Amino acid sequence: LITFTVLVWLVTLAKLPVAWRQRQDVLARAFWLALVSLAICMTLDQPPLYRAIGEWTGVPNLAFPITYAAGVIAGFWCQAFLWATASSADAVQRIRRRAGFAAATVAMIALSAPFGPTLLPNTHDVTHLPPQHWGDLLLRLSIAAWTALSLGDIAWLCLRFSRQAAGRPLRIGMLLASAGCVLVITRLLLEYGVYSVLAWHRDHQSTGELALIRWLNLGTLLGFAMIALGLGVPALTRRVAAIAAWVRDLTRYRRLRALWLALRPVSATLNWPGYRLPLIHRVPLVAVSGRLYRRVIEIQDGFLAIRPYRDAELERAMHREAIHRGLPAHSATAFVEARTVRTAVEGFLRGIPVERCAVDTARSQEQESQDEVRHLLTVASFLRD
Amino acid sequence: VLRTLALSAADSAVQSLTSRIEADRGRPLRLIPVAQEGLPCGMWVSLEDADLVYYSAVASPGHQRHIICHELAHLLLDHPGADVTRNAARLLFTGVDPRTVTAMLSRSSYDTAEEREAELLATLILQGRRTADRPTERDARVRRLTSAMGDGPETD
Repeated sequence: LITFTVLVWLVTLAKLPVAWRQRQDVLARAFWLALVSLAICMTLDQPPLYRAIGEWTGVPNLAFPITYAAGVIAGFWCQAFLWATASSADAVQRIRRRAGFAAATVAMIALSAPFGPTLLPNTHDVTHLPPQHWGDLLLRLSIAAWTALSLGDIAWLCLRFSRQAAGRPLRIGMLLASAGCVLVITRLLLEYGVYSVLAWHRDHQSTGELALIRWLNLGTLLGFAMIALGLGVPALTRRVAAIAAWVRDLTRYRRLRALWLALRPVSATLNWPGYRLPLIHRVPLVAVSGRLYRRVIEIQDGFLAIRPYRDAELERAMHREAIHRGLPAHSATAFVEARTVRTAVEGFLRGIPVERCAVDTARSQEQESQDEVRHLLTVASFLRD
Repeated sequence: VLRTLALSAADSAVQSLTSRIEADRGRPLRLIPVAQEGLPCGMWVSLEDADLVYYSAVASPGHQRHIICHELAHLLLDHPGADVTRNAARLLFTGVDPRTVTAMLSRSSYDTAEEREAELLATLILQGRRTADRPTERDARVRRLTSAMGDGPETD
């Protein structure tokens, strides 16, 4: 049970920096308030805390109405966020109506609690027992009615956004949140709607009923976790992609070192001017994509510098060797560049230009930077041979 | 300078910088590829009525973008440029009246503070620019949703 709660708190805390950055934005605030209300709701529903609240305040089962009031508030913020985002012409009116409904539900919970759960022993099991007093029944039916209408509203909006989204993570996230809402609706309608009416005023509960209700409760927690996870999926996907890109860039940066070192004597004047560079860029493993970018530019500067010093005869010989080795065209070019780079560097340092090389290092204008990095990586791999 | 540029990831850096500089300076800016050996890989030449940016025609596309951005950085940073003798201009460029050349800078070394600053700015402009790896949301409502959830380009 605690795992789901921790998960929701993690998503809430992960979103905190963004919420703070965008604190002027009503939408961002509503989104984060929905998350934090949901996290509070799930935390209060933890049995040890549930019992403790009753004991500290001297009001048995006080956590029961508070938990669901927090749930209603979370739901309202979520509705407000989604409707304000959907921005239909009557969004403000719709949000006001939903605020009224949420306020009425919270008022109903507060009114019925003194005539229901607070009259029973202070135990978390009360939330799953058949209603004993009219306050109990009213409270549960209020929750069931709110759930059906409000969470249904949220599930529908999430599904709509899922269909409109072009990005796969957002599509999946919204679908997950929608499915989570449906799970919560199913459980609360079954337990607090159908079961409450059928078992009203019964003073016993069969083992089968108890087991079924416990399983249904697991469904609620899973549903809430799915909602939180669904809202977090797009950002999480980006984080994972960023980590993968960091690993790829670091690997490439290191693999290009040999080529960069070989060309360094000719591009010494073009090496990265470290002055006034923020200290953070000089820390290892930080700003890796920037370092990779500089390395590639410096290598390309080096290739341009040695261009007039390349030995055409040697390059033709190397090209023949590459063909003899059965290398494909692109690898053959890289092989030739790698094999001849030292000779050209030496020519540059001695100031002896040779005739212009027959093998052109320049590639077509259409090729993108990624292709250039890949090409240099191939050159670097042959340099290490 | 970088903050004031506020280039979005979707922009083409060279195109948007060129248009901005042309508008700011109120005169045309021409980008000219040069295949001639022995010249610096990039040069900015200020004429009386226009700016010319020469870049190596044999460099790779990514390298060309960097060279051009380096020269444009000089203009963004309001670098004065070095005086150039008309004889030197005549030797270097064809198709340019040497009498109209007022100043020039070339990307060949970092001996001067201007060159270091321009290289730094070009690097900062281009190093973080990657083609968007996510599909652009067509629906404005979905864009608002992703932005408010902290997943939009505006927030991250």
